[in-house]
This record gives sequence, structure tokens and C-alpha cells, in this order.
Amino acid sequence: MSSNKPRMRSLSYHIKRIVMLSFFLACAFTHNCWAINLPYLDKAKIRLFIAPDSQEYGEIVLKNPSPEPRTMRLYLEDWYYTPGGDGSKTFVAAGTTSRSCASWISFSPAEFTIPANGQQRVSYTLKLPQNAALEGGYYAVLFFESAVGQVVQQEEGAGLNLVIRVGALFYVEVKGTIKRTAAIENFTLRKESSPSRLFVEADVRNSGNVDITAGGTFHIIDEKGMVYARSEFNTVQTFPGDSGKLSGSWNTGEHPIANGTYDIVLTIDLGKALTEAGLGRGPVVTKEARIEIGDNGEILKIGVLK
Amino acid sequence: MNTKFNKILIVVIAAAAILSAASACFALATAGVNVKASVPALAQSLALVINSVDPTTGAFTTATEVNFGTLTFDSVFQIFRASKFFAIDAVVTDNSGAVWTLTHTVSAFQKDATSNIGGNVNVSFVQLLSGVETLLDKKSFTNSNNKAISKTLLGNGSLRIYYGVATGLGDDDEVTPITVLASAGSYLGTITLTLTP
Repeated sequence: MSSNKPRMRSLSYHIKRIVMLSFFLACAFTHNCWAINLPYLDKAKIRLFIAPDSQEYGEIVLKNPSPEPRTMRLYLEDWYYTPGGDGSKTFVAAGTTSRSCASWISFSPAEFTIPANGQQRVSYTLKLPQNAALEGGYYAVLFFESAVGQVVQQEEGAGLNLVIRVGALFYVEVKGTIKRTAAIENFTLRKESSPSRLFVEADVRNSGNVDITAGGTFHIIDEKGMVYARSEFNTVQTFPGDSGKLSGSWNTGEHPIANGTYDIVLTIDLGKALTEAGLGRGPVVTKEARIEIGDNGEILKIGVLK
Repeated sequence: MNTKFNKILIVVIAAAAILSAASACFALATAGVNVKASVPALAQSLALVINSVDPTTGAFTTATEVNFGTLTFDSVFQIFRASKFFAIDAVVTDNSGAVWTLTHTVSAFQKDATSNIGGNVNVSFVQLLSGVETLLDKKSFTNSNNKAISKTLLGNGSLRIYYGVATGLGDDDEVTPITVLASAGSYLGTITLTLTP
């Protein structure tokens, strides 16, 4: 019995060392143990269909995954998609854009401290005014802002405060007035040799009165309907009047297309935002053009997109 | 006692061997098993790490604020230097497939209405992927306002943003060092990082 004692102490000692080493390695190879985990929203996009002179109520839950309490300040701003259509957004003061719905939204509370590992419910009301001129989509963002690294004012020196905010985007559509339409323009085919790819591009111009998230596919088929190429376009996000570029490509190095005449069919889904929100499917636009491909895969002729 | 214990041990090992063999036989006789797993949706969230970086050694030290402290005057080059620069790592968690955007906005970096060092600080936006940094953009602090970084741009990487007082070497074209023309005092600015879907 006595001979076992040193062995037991030794085992316990090694276990402790392994646990400490594991903790050290976990800290060294992930930054997570030093990370500031910021509060997050249970829903970051709120899409509402409302009739004039009516209102909707809702709730957003903010959760704090951090072991520290965090003070939050809430406020509204306007937003719009930054030109280009990649989904980047520009935020400006509330009520300054033509499609702002910030003044229709009220919420409570506007300031609070969310406890460590706790959550806070924020109620909102959106009341559409009685205005016959309202049509299409209107937008705002409710920001949840928190100061993360506050620099203490010093006599001399230079420092930067760090503020973090997460936003709940409001998309409000006035019932019975929606036009979700787009024009597909500036269709081009481009062949690049290194690497060997065929690029298919077209602009989506939002000709409606509501935001559009567009995406889709293209097919290259012969007269018998045999598919020679198929690929997906990127997603383009636009506000009314904006344009964004759809772009897709086909690896002609691995899958060359023989010389001949083909049809290229573009299938553009204008309702990806609705699908994402689980609110149905939007209109799908199908366009096609006749193309001619040469002996070396070069584009000889591009017909008109119809 | 030992002999009896050894016998029990042998019986247990033999039983285990028989059961293992039996389970292997059953496996051979089985046509197929459905495998099912569901990955839960995660709420979109942001985690940050602020580091101060030693310009000599390149060593990162966790910090709680972006504070350059009191700058030191380099009498040879007649410029003010900082003893450190800063790196903010921003990691977004989101498995919804949505294209989120991190937007970087800044206020003036100033002492008062006439003294501003926003044009004397470099801001570099870097993709960090498997420990490898790829520069996405480099601007002056002032011109880094409204810089948007999307999930598409970062791919599977995360965002690292460096903030450094100009040194006269390797600065962005828009950035110049702080000279004796800058009036003494405390300069303060604000960085706002915004996460939206």
C-alpha cells in the first residue's frame, strides 16, 4: 500500500500539468480567451408588409454572451445600399433619405445595461401614416451601440475610443403598392485565357419601388437543348433606381465549349430577399441571347438579350 | 486472491473479445444505417480582440483601448513617434449564409476644431486567413470613414485593422508624420465598428 502513494501523487501532478498546458495552448492558439464578445440580436432583419394608417408591434431580444454587463444605447438612422450592389450599406442621420421610415418607428427602452450572460427585450411599434402618396419600400436601422474601449482623457497624448454597434434593419413595404421589377442590361460575354474562363456579366437595374436582392444562374445550350455550361451569378442588392452587376463564370479550361452556335439563358430571381425572410418567392426574369463560339473558344458573336 | 483476480480478468477479456467479434459479424450483415445530423442556426455575432503591437519586435499584447499615449519627439527627423501601434481583430460568427457587412466609421481625431491628426495615422484593413495577412486597403484615419468590409471580401478569413501613427516609412500616400506644427495637447477620436446583415 505504501508503495502506491508516490505513484498516486505523481499521477495527480501530471494531470494538473496536462490541464494547465491544455489551457495555455487553448489560449495561445485561439484569441477567444481575450476576446470581447459583444451582444447580439435574435433578429437583425425585420421585413414588414403594412397598409397605410395601420401599425405593427414587435420585439427584438438582445443577448449578452459576455461575463461582463454592458451598457447599451439605442437610436435610429437611415440606410441605403452603397452603389455597386454587393450589399454594403451607408448609414446616415434619421429622416434624411427619401425612403426613410425612421419617423414611423418608436421603441423602448432607449438605454439600459444588459447583465452578464443576460438578455434584454426591446419593444418596437411601427405606425404607417395615412398618406396616399406612400408607395413601395421604406427603410431604417435601429442601432444597439456600446462603448468597448474608452480612452481616459490625458493631458498630452493621442487615443481613440472604440464603439461597437449592431443594427436591426427595417424593411417596410406598403401593402398593395409594391412593384418588384428590374431591367437586365449591358449583357456581356468575355473570354479570358489565363486561367481559361468565360465570364458572363449583366447589370440589374432596379426599376421598381422596393429593394431587390437578385441572383440566379446562366445556362449555355445548343439547339437540341443540351446543356454545355451552367453556373451561378453573385447576389446583387439594390434600392429603387440603383444598378448592380451580376457576374458568373465557366471554367473553359476544364470544360471547353466546342465551336458552334448556342443560346445562353439567364434566369434571374428578383425575390431572394423574400425567400430569405420566409415570406414567399419573388418574380423570376428569364432572358436569352444567341451566341457563337469559335474554334479556340473565342466569342465570335453575341446576340441581343431577349 | 491474486490467482482468483487473474481468472476473473481473463474471463472479462475473453467476453469482450467475443462481443467485439460478434458486433463485427453483425456489421457485415447490416445493409446500411442512416446518418443524420442537424447544424443549428447561430445568431450573427461579433467578437473583438484589441492588441497593442511593439513596432520593434512585432509582439502582440492584449489591450483594452486604442491609446497611443504620449508621443515622443524624434529630434533627428523632427517628427513625433508612438511607441506602439494597434491591431483590432474582428471575428463575425454567422452560419445563415447571409452576406454581412462590417462598416468602419470614424470621427475627427482632434484636440480642438483646428488641430487634427486624422491625416497622420495609417489605417490598414487586412484579411487574416490561417495566420496569413493579406492587405485589403490602406488609408489615412480620416479617409477610412465609411469603409465597408463584407463577408464576400473576407472569404473564410477574419478582419484585422491596424492603426499606426505615421513614421515617414511605409505610410499610406494620404498619410504624413506629425511634425512640430502639431500643437501640444490631448488628441481624441472615435472608431465605430458596425455589424449589419
